[in-house]
Amino acid sequence: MRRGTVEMGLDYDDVLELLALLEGSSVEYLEVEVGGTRLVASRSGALTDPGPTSISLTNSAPTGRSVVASSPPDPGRREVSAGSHASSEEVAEAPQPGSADAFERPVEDRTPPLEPAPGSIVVRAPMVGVFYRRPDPGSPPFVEIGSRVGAGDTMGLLEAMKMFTGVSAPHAGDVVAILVEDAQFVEFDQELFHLRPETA
Amino acid sequence: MSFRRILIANRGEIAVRVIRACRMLGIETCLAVSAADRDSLGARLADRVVCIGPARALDSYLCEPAILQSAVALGVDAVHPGYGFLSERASFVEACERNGLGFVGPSAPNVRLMGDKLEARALASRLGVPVVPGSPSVATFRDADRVIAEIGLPILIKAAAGGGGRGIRVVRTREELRPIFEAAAAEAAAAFSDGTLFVERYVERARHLEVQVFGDRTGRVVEFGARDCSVQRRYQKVVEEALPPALSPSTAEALRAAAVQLATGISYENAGTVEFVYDVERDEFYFLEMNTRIQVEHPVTEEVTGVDLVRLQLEVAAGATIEAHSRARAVGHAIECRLNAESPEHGFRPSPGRITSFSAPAGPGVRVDSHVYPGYVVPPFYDSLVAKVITSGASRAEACARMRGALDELVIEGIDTNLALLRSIVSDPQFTNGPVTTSWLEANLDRLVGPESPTDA
Repeated sequence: MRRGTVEMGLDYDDVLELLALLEGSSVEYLEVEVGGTRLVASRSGALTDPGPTSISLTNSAPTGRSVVASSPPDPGRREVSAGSHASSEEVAEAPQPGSADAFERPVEDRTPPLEPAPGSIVVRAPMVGVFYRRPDPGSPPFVEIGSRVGAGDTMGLLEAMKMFTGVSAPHAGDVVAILVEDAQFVEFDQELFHLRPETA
Repeated sequence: MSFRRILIANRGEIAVRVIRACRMLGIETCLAVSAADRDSLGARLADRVVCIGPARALDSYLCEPAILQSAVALGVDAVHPGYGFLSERASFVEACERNGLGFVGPSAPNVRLMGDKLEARALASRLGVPVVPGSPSVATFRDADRVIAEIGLPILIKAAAGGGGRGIRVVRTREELRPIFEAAAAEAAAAFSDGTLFVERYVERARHLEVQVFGDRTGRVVEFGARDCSVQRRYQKVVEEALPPALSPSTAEALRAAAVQLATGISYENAGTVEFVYDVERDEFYFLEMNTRIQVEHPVTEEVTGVDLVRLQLEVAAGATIEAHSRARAVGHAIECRLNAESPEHGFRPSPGRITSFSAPAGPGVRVDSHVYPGYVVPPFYDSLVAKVITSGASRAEACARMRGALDELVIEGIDTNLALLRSIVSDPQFTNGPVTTSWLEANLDRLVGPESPTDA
């Protein structure tokens, strides 16, 4: 907590450090209040219904608005994170940036950074599949950074074996980050967007 | 010829089992996990993990598109379905084929054919494999009486549209046939909207015997001997062994030959198990059904034959032939106990939760197939199998002695398990003098579970 910061309380470095501590421990639930900021982290918490393994972070900003953000994934865990349909090329020793092999691309290679900006909501994949940013190859993407969406608006599509599911905006707001590429294979619950919700 | 990379579409101990076989063969492993299994042992061992859905099996392990899409995206050569879940779903096998994915298991026609239990019986009969004496549908109690005249008593009256043990009544005397028949017909009409009944011989003293078969794509089928899985509760196996004790060589040979005959007759590929009801009184066996997948109890066959069945699955699925195993012989005896997260003392209620301490036994002739570790949380969404303890020895007595020692040595805390019951079973003189029938465990449950608490009705 740096003195002299505009917002009293925990800054994001503090939050990440606390999350890392939580991750490495057997603590189930953590609540810290410093100045005007309250941090709640729970192993069983989630965006909406608590799932058994997700870790969510609730950061009450000094304005009293309560938003939900995600924690960074366990860096020790390999995740499926990249690429379109992979063909069976030989396994690369060192994955190239932009490699299309979904098997190989490690977590560290993922851009942009995973930490959501203050006040953002994370929109996650409701199922595993191939993520599309646009309704069809010829059309513009559903959203860009800066796009404003209404609650329930389609932000993208997920496809699993020719079955398409829409990714809907959980709240009205502005798209502040897009974490996945068009035609990227994503896991269930993987972060897709950061959305700054519209205040009432 | 071998696969380079496969997707394992299962969880728990069988996922670990398949990963181990893949590692041995140098096959890269991708494991599909639900959100509840991200911290599983399988997830830690696999080369790659993909979260395919939430905890609920319908949305994850039973979700064909999620699994297929993951398999395609990860560039795997084939999918291993384990047991349960999608392993016996013909549509899934076909979908793998359509998408250029291998399937570590039988062909779609194999699965479809054996999946229809009535069709399978009819086919077995046509192939000369004995089936439970009985009848096609019987319209009146007089028709049932005629069947009794042919096959004798006692009989089972079964609802054709029933299933899962429902709609079955025993008739022991001719006098009680009519009232039971008419009650059964009324019940079937009410419960299943179909009053059709048929008759089957009721085998009072039965043993569950099954044969491990294995086919390749050239049409060759071999067998790796039989297993006895008679220690059951509510049709769930608790203890299994190989080879079946106290079976005459001629019966054992006939059993194995019948299994091979059936599997050959349907051009069966990869691992499968042909299950039989063995009538102890009559020394006769009858085909029950065929399971077109690797089974939970496969380790007892592995221990007595020295064959790695899961490895063989992978090799044969990649095109290898089964020729080299045509002379497999069993040596000695093996027993498996299924350790479940449940409390027999409290009506076998499930006991999910965090395992605070776990220590597996070891030593000569002791094997533990498990996916748990200290700190592991047994999720409430799936079956309760926690570990399989398998012991082997030169004789059944040796295997039993090792099992008693292994179960004594095993430590598991934090959840309730059936460990004490397993210990009672393998120490019980009726079991050790064996063999027991399929009604034995339930008939002796109170005694075996112990005096402290009542068991369920």
